[in-house]
Amino acid sequence: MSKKNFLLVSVSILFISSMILSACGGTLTVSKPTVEALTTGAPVSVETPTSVETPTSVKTPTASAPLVFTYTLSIEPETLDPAIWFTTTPLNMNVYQPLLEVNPAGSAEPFTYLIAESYTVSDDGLTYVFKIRQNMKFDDGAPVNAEAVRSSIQREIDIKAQPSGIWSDIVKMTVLSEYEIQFQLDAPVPFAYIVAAGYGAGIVSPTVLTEHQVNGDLGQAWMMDNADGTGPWVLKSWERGQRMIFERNKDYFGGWTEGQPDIVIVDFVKEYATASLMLQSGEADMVDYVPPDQIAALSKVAGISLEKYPSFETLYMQFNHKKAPTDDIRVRQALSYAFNYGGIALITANTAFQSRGILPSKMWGYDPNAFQYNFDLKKARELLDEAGYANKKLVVTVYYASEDEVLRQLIEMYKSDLATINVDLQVESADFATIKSKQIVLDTSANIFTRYWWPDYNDPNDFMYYLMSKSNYEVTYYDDEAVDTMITEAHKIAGVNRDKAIELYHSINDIAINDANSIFVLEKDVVIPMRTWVKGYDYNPNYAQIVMFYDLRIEK
Amino acid sequence: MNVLGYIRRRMMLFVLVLFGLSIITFTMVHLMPVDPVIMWGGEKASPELIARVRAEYGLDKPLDIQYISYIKNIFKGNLGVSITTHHPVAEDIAMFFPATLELVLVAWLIILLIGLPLGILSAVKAGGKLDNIGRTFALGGISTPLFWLGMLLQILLFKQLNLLPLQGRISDMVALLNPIKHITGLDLLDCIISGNWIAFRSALEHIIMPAITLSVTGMAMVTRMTRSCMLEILNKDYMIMAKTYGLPKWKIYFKYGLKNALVPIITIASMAICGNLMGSILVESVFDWPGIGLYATRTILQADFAPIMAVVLIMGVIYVSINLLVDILYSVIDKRIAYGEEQR
Repeated sequence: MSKKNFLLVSVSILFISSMILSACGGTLTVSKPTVEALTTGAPVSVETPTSVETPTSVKTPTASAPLVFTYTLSIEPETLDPAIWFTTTPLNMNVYQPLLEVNPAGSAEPFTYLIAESYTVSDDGLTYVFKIRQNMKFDDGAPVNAEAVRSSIQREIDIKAQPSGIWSDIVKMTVLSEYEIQFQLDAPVPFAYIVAAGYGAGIVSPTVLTEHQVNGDLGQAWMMDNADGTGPWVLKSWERGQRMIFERNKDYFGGWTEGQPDIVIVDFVKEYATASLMLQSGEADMVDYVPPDQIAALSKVAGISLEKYPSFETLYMQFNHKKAPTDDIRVRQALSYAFNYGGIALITANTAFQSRGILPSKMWGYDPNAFQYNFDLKKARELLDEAGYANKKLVVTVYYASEDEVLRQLIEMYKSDLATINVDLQVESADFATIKSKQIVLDTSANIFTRYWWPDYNDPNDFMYYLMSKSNYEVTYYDDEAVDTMITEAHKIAGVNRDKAIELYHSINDIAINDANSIFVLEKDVVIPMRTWVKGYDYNPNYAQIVMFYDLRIEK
Repeated sequence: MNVLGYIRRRMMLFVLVLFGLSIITFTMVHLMPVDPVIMWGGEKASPELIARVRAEYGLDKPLDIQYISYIKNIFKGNLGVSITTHHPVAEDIAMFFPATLELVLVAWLIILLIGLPLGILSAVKAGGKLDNIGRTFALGGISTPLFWLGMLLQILLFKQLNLLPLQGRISDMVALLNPIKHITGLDLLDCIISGNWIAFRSALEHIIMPAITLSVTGMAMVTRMTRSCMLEILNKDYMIMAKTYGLPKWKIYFKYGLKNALVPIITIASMAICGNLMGSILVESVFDWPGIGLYATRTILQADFAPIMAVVLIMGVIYVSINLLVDILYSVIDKRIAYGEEQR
């Protein structure tokens, strides 16, 4: 064979082989390098698989090597300041802790004590006294005491960003002694749940104010990139766009046992395909999500577990009560009957189911007997005829956030079903900022605005107030004083009379359903893919999308 | 040749171009049907909070006042503050741009080392099998979607063959145990400067796949352009004369041939480099490369006006600067090209 022909044949074989190889399945195990290999620069050995399906054993770290847990997160936080961010970051419950932690429903105790070791509440529910755990320290060594708790909460109130809203019922905070702090409230709200919130209740060190404040900014500039909390983890480094590294807080009051990670690495991985490859290879121990249409494929990979957990996350398609045709209750009810609730299971791969009103089924105040709309196009058409659209094509507009594939499929399904009853659903998708900006102006608002929701703390008020009251007027243009009064009343007695609060929440729920305030589409289960050597994980719906690294054990 | 006079004239035009760019960018960003404060505020922000933050960032002022304030700050070197990160935008860009610069430099090193010789070889062996391979490669390179190629390389080189790492700039364990001391922001260079060879190896391993992915389109363009320029030049009298003199082939093709073909190649390359520097968002997304493309995309999705305008302005500066540099290079490579009044 001549040189030229050899070259041509070789290149062709290489090209075709690469196509075939890349199409083949197969798992590869990558061992994490040992500490010794890295520090000496010695070549790091990688084990090659002996079979396609079953990963070979992963190299076990030597006794002196730290146990590392790697978690991939698709969204990187913009700031580390718990007084500013009102969403999930890896620091929630790991670096920053609240006074209490709400346990999942069915637990022996309602709370786990974190910074607080106990609390009392007066009979009228207006005064709470928390006893702070002694001998706790912040990451910078400052003592955790009542004054530190007070100053942290006051800082949040003074900054007046989103998280400050959870403290709106506080009338006065008083430091009774070094380790006792008293909260006086304006109403008997369920304050214990508020201080246990996943967002906004983390306590920061007072040195933020004393040493890191610049030009009266309450330490905001410093807190953007730095963390100083009481949790079991300390933020060691943050390389923006790449990773956060956490190491153990050696003095954590809960102590440490064998098998818990020494180091946690959170990699910011935007694409699910990349995160999935990292999980399959063992480079990552857990990823933060899996798209529903990928669950089946991932479940076939050995060494990966896909547990499903109930959550408080819900989806609504909220109607515009001021814009025709959804200003007509018959049209809203018709549109509620026209939604194919059975399609939810298919689109979400059985990880979601139809809601029954405003609240998720695991939250107190949920009404298991509330009415549910069913998929009935005939009934929908009858209602539309009654509303005067018998021989007219009805046009309804909907906005949804373009990043969500499940939403896209649900909307497409809805659109095609509506078309069969002569309703034209005009869909506009864009990023959330754009659709929200358009929705708050009536002329550019849509008839239907889709949104996910989950609570900041375990209290129906977090749903009712933000979704049903006048605070949501700019989205739904819905304003009912009687409902607002009921929401306020329920919230303000929940701390002392839960039964009455539940009764009120049930009534509000009934009003919302009968009025077809929204299409109460679904509540989600959460699927968290992880390696089977990760133990101890339990999703707590009170802390949506938060992984508490302290609970984990690595058993490789 | 009055290069300095030419540069002076171009700099004056440069200022006008930037001024025009700032007006266009400012107008387009403010025409977007989105309120950045609402994006920052999220679902639960009260109207009072929204109004306060809007006032804090001057977004409640009339547009002409906002623009004047924006231009004044530009002249002071202040690119504004990001609503989402609360960082000065200049700091954010300084953090993310070096990653893109490093990726582009390595990609273009690959392009020049492979694309140029391949183009020359294609031209010299025109019509032969090697030429066919080269042209097929060039066509394939231009047609291949970058994200697809990136993911293919990940599956092949990481999952199947375990030759290279999957994503990121450096491995987690190296970041933990041998962190790079950031001097220039170019990890490879910083490792060399600080003598951190463990991190250097990791950084080199991590940059290969994204750089190859990014280089494919540029390589295809350079190969095609080099081939067609060389084909024209190979038939020139001086080239035939050089062959007749029995000069070594490498000297004929590179010193006499390629040098005369460089002007159009440099033109194409400069435009491609500008495009790469402006954000290789697809490659950065696939490989989680923390560059300016990812940063710009995030700020656009968050409707963060100050970073959006700053990134566009800086890209304009880069584009104009590279064009100026290329014009000067022309006159260096080809003495027949002159600028200024001496040109006859």
